[in-house]
Parts: sequence; C-alpha cells; structure tokens
Amino acid sequence: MKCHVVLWIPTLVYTGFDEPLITQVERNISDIPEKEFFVKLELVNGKDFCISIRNDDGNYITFVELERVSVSWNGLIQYTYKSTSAKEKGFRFTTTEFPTAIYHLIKSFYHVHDFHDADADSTFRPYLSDGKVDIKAENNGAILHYLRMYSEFMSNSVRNLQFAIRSVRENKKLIQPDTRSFIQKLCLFAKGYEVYMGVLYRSKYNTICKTSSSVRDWRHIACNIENGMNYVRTIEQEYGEYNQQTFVEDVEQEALSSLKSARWSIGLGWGSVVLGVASIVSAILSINLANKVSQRSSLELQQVAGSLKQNIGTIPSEISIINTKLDSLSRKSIQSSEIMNEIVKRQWTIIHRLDGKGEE
Amino acid sequence: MEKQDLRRLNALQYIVDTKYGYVGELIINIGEVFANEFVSLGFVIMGYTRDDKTWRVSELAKRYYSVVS
Repeated sequence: MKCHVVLWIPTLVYTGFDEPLITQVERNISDIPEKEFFVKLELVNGKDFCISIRNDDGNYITFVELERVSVSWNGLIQYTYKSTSAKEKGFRFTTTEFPTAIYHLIKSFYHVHDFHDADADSTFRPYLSDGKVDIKAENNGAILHYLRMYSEFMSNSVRNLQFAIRSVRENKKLIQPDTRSFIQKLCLFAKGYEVYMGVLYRSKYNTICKTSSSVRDWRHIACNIENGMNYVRTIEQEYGEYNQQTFVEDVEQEALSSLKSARWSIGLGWGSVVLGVASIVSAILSINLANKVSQRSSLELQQVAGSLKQNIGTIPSEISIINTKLDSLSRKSIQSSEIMNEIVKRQWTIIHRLDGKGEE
Repeated sequence: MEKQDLRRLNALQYIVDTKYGYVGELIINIGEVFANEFVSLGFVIMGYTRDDKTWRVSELAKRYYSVVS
C-alpha cells in the first residue's frame, strides 16, 4: 500500500533541498543498550532515501525506500513509500506510523541545530496521509498539522518555564549563576523555534491559523503561539533584569558583609594593639617590681649570710668547749667504772668471808 | 507545591532516574500527557528496536530536573 509523509525541515532560506549537508548516515536508534538496532540512510539520486536495517550477521538489507514527491519553500518535503513492517509493534512505515527517529535523521541531511544540541531537538510527529498532499495549497493539511505541533510546543514551553521559575524561587536558587544561565537557555530554545516556525506561521499558504481568524479553534491556536512567544520574551527580559538586580543586590550584600568583617577585623586589630601595649607595660612593671624584690631579697640574703658567718665563726670555740666537757665526762665515767669495780670486788670479798664462817 | 507541579516533578524524576526504556512502560508510569509533553520539549528522545518503541532521557531534561528539584 502506498503511503505519504510530509516532513517539516526547519529552513530560513528557500533552497529546494538540492544541496544536502550529508549523503549518508548510519546510526543505532535503539535506546536499550543490550538491544542495538542499526539503520542506514542513503541519499539516492540526490533526493530520495534508501533506508536499510542491519541484520544479526552485520549486513544491511533495504527496508524501505522514500521517493520525494514535492517540496515547498517554507520547509515541507513530501515523500511516498510502500507500507513496510518488521514486527507488529516495532520499527515500521505505515499509513499511521513513520518512525520519529528516521524523521530526525532525515532532518540532519538538511538542517543544522543552531539554538540547541542535536540531542535536545524537539520531536514533532510527522504528517501522514493516505494520498498525495498538495503542500502548496492554502491551509493544506501538512502546514496546519505542523502549526498545531508548534502551538503545543509553545504551550509546553511556557508551562515548563513557569514551573522552573516557581521551583527556583521556592528553592532560592536564583542567585546561582548556572541556574540563571539555564533559564535563559530555555528561553533561547523556545525563541529558536520561533525563528524557524515563523516561516510556516507567516507562510502565504497559512491563512487560517491567525489571531484574527474567524475559525475559533485556529484563532486559539494562533493566540497560543503568539502569547507563548510574548511570554518567553518577557520572562527573558524580566529574568535578565531580575538577575541583574539580584546580582547587584548580591554584590552589594557581599560588599556590606565584607565591610562589616573588615570593621570587625580593624576593631580586633586595635584591640590587639592595646592588649599588646598593655602587655608591654605590664611586663616593664613586672620587671621593675622583680628588680626591687630581688634587690630586697639580695639585701636580706646578705644579712643572713653575715649572721651565718658570725655564727660559723663561733662554732669552733663552741666545739672546743664541747670537747672539753666530753673529756671531763669521759674521765668521770672512767672514775665511776673504777669505783663500781672496787664495789663489786669488796662485795665478793664479803660474800667469800660469809661463806667461810658458815662452814665453820 | 501544587498537585500538578508535584506530578510534573515526579514524572521528571522518573525519566531522570530510569534513563531509558520502552515507551509503553513510560506511558504507564508517567501518563500519556507528560510523555507527549516531554517528547515535544526534547526531554525524552524516541527510538526503536526491531520489536518496540524505545525512549531515553536527554541531557536537557537532566539539567532541567537539577534546576527544579
């Protein structure tokens, strides 16, 4: 069964898509590390695509061929292909399914990501049709489909910007420079889409998706787009001013606290000086006092030494007196012992005499 | 924090913590609304195996989560 897909390639200048940036790309499009799935896209005849998948044996086999049908200057390219499916749920090209990973790879043949990393590209659902689409017709299905995608993107961007700012304010993270730069990066991401989607939005083929449209749904979609972009610009401006103001306040605060610390330091410094002087004075006084005390002590010591000398002088004479007395004592002791011996002798004599008389 | 904000934060936490998986499981865990929203913003990148649709978290999403959490 023949299917049609219209892909929007972000462009600024009409090129006809005749000068691709690359002619072949090979990529693992699986996000499951243990289940790799390699695809290869080759440009055929400068405009058609041959999409191959790699088998388990490492060889590529053609899976589907995209034949270019038409292009428009506002970035729409139409391809046709035969419905192909590897498995029921997986990688397949049908009237209701066109892999967004393949859409993203085809984009890389003609578009350079200016305002974001390739990894962070927004993914629009491709426009699919049973039959051929006249992409140069007013309000054709493809252009309106991508304008609706743009409106969804803007609404989601606004919602997430609001959420980010609320969270950051609650967590008081605004003062961190990397948080500030990231919020600005989100705004730039949205504004980058405005640059390219503006080509579609202002296209002469879009007459219904306008803020003045008589069709309510399209009027709402157009309002979402324009209000969303106004919000992003306002946030970027306010946030820039807020950041500048916050930054200045932060700097002032830091300066004030530094001044306070400096004042404290100076005060402590003076205090240290006063204490130092007091210490010096106290040391001087202590030294003087110590000198006086030592002088007095020295005097007293001299006096004590003098009296000691005197006393020491009298010691020999006293020693000789003691010796004399000791001599006299020892003479008397000898005399005493002689007397005692005599007494004992006379006692034995008496005892012997008494014993002799008894025997008689 | 409001309920919707909390749901958004939980959904972000899921994709940042889980890192990759199958799209069916993603929708079960965070709902189709958040899944579509994150895809349109480039927070979630879609891929394929031969059998199924896959997803992985982008660096932009990780950075965004670190700011809002």
